[in-house]
Amino acid sequence: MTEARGTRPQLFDDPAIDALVKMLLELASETWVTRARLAALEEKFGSIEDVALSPEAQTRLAAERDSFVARIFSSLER
Amino acid sequence: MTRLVTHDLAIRPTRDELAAQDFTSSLRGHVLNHMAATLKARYETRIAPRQPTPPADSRAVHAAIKGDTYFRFYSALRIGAQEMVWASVNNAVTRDAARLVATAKALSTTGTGALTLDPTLAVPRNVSAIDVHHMPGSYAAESDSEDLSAGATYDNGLSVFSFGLMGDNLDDIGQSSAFWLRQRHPDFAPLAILDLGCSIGHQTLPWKSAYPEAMVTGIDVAAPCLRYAHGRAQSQGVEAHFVQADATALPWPDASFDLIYSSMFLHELPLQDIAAVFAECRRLLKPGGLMLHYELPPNNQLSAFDGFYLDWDCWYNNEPYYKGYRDQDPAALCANAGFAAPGFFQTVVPSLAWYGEAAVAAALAGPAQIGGNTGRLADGVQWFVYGNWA
Repeated sequence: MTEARGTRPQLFDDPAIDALVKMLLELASETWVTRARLAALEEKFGSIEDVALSPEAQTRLAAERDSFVARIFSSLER
Repeated sequence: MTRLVTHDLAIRPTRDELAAQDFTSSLRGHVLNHMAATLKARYETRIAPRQPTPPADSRAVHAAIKGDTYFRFYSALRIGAQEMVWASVNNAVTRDAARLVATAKALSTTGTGALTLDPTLAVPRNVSAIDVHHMPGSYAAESDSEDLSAGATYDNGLSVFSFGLMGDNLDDIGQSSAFWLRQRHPDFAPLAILDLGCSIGHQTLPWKSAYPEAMVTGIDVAAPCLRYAHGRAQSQGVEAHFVQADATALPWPDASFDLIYSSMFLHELPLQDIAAVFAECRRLLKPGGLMLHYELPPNNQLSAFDGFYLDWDCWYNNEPYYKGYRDQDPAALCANAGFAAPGFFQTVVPSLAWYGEAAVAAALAGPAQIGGNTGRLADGVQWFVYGNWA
């Protein structure tokens, strides 16, 4: 199962905006996934599925991720 | 493995799935800390002053704020993030389902804890008919009589959802509750402990660590969560027993337990079931025993805005009983079940995982104050606990 039952709340008068938010989230998530993969590639060439990032790289990536999230949604506070 | 699920029932997410989990945790951290604080400031400076009369309660705050664009984005992002919590673990759980069943079977022979299921138990509709907090399938969906996917979904999802705010073993509420009890009542030595609505037993196990002599039992209506709880406890080497039962009608004789606990449970119940659960606690406790609940703080002890902030889940997070419960008075719930008023207490326990033992012990020596971070999953969370001695 991938979809929860029940009515998904609609927040905006135009439901397209709710959908837009969801699309934005998916896009943002996928962008992050790519960034994370690139970071791994930069650590080591070849198959990276089993490559473990160093603790330093993980810490750096976590901080970059938090600021990435803050940046995406900063337009809401303009 | 998912960051905070490292026991033998850990799933094996791909690198990309792990990155999606991390992203979702970061998103939730941003929404629950930065955006929540911005929302509150916006309410106080821009929204409340424009109302003809100051919003007096949670519903009035909701009415005043729900047209605000920032609130709508806050809510939409929080709902989206909630759905992403489950989506970020769902594929790996599905892929690993058969392996988890085999692992759980192997684990069941390794320890002394027992699992007792009741296939005749009717799962109540507040669990079976609602996908609580947008969790696909809720707690009790199962493909067959061995399936424990719902437990795996909940455990891994909780790791993404809480990103450390519920401790590295997701047991901080139980750890903090037990720490408080041992500090405040060092002579209380329960030998029979019951945890109601225990799901995967993550808040059950701390009681065995706190009271090694006690027999610790967790009950729930959801079999797949209990199968998972049993394997998880065996993996962590903690002796705990799990029984499929309904907390409104428990299968034990009167005066069977010294301590009956619950955490994050009562707000999932209709009001008549809450009354039945309290009556069962009263019946099952021995004289001098203790009923203890971790819950969200009640509306009548919060500002209108802080009450509204917690009631959000009722309106937007598939938690239909949340506000009904939070509109109750804890002392009245206890008294209505026949508990003696002098035995009632409530307190606020700072999170052990966030503050550390020394700081929590120091805080417990002072007066308990409900603040804006009480019961709110964000940096510096504090847990609201109340109960009644029998």
